Amino acid sequence: MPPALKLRIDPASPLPAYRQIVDGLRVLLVEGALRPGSELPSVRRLALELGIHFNTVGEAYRQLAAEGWLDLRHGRTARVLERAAHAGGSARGGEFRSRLRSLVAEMRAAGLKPQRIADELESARRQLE
Amino acid sequence: MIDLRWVVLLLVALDAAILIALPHLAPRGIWFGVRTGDEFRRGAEGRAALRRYRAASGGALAVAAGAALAFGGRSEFALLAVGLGPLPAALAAYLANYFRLKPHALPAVDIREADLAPAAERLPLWTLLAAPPFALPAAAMLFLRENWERIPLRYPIHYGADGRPNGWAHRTERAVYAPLVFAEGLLLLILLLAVATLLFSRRSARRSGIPQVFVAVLYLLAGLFSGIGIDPVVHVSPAILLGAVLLFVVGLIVYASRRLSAPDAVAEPTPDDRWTLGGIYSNPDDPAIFVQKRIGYGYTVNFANPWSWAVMGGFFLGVAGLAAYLVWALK
Repeated sequence: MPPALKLRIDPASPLPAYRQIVDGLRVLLVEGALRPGSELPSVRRLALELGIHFNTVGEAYRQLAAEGWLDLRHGRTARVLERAAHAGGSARGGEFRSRLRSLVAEMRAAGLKPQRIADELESARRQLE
Repeated sequence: MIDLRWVVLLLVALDAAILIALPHLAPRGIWFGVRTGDEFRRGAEGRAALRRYRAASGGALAVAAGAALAFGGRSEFALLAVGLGPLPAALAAYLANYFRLKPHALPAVDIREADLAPAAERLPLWTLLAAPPFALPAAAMLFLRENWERIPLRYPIHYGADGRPNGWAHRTERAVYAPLVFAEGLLLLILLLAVATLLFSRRSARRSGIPQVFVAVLYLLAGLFSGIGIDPVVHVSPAILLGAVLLFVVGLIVYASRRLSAPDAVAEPTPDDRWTLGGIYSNPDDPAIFVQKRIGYGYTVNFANPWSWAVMGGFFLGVAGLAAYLVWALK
């Protein structure tokens, strides 16, 4: 039996909870752990499990629906969609490069050694293959 | 006539079963309502806290047992005072430990985790076992109907501390069936509370135990009230009923201890600063109505959620309504 998929959030993080949900789910979607057709918990159930407001989860689901990952039309459930790569992705290359550099700077400021950062980036690169 | 001292002694035994087990009825890592970590209770401070609690509650139980033998049968007040007396003493000792151990609380770690498998929000098959208890009071009603002529025209419904009847009812359909109608209503309210607890609590290993405990409570209450209901025809000693409750409580404590000592019986990740005195949870940011207890086995309500007040208010109003009906029917 495959291991159960988990979503974790840290309420003490400076990142808003809805952002953490979007990021966490997007990682699972991009990596294929959440496959097209699979259902996510209802907004009410996920909010209950995470101990946060319903609107926070609703906002996260709407964000992912706007990105084309989720179909929210089926009543209260959220279903994962088959999603083609966005045509406009390459145009945002500069924005992503800037965000990646900010993240690397943040990791260094937090005390991570350059080799560790390089290992993390290499690990992420391998997952793309 | 029965010697009510034995009934009071049974009450004290019931207190003892609950009070001795209480410190151990907590999720792993929680000791006297404080999140101290799993190892703390085995350390010097943890064991000293348990010794202090046992000394206080054991002393109170010994005094109550002595008082039960000396004064238990004198008055209803003595019966109640002796039966319930050890509880405040033990609670005070528990709270004293809570405040003493608070400085040992671990730093708050509040990482929340959710299983992404869509929840099966159907009720588990276990809940089918909740049906038979509803048949028991109904069967008792049929038994009373079949034996109507054996019911005295005036029969006792209340007994004094000396064991003599001091309240009477007349043989009317309203009075004879009232305890059993009350029982059916109470069982229904408890079933609804069980369903609400399942639907509005977080998924966890402990949550799967909710139906078992509620179903067991339904069987106990159905048995007790059916026993009380047929009393006009077949007198059931209060000592037998109390003995059944004692056996049930001991069984429940053994069951709860086993569940709570399981490796996955960790405390639900609720924020520590939202707990008052280790047992009262109030978090307006948490949509859960029911959260796992940190003291004892089971669930408590999130007092900051208005729906918690609605659910519990509805339950207690229902019980109060049933009690008012019982008083009216037996008048």
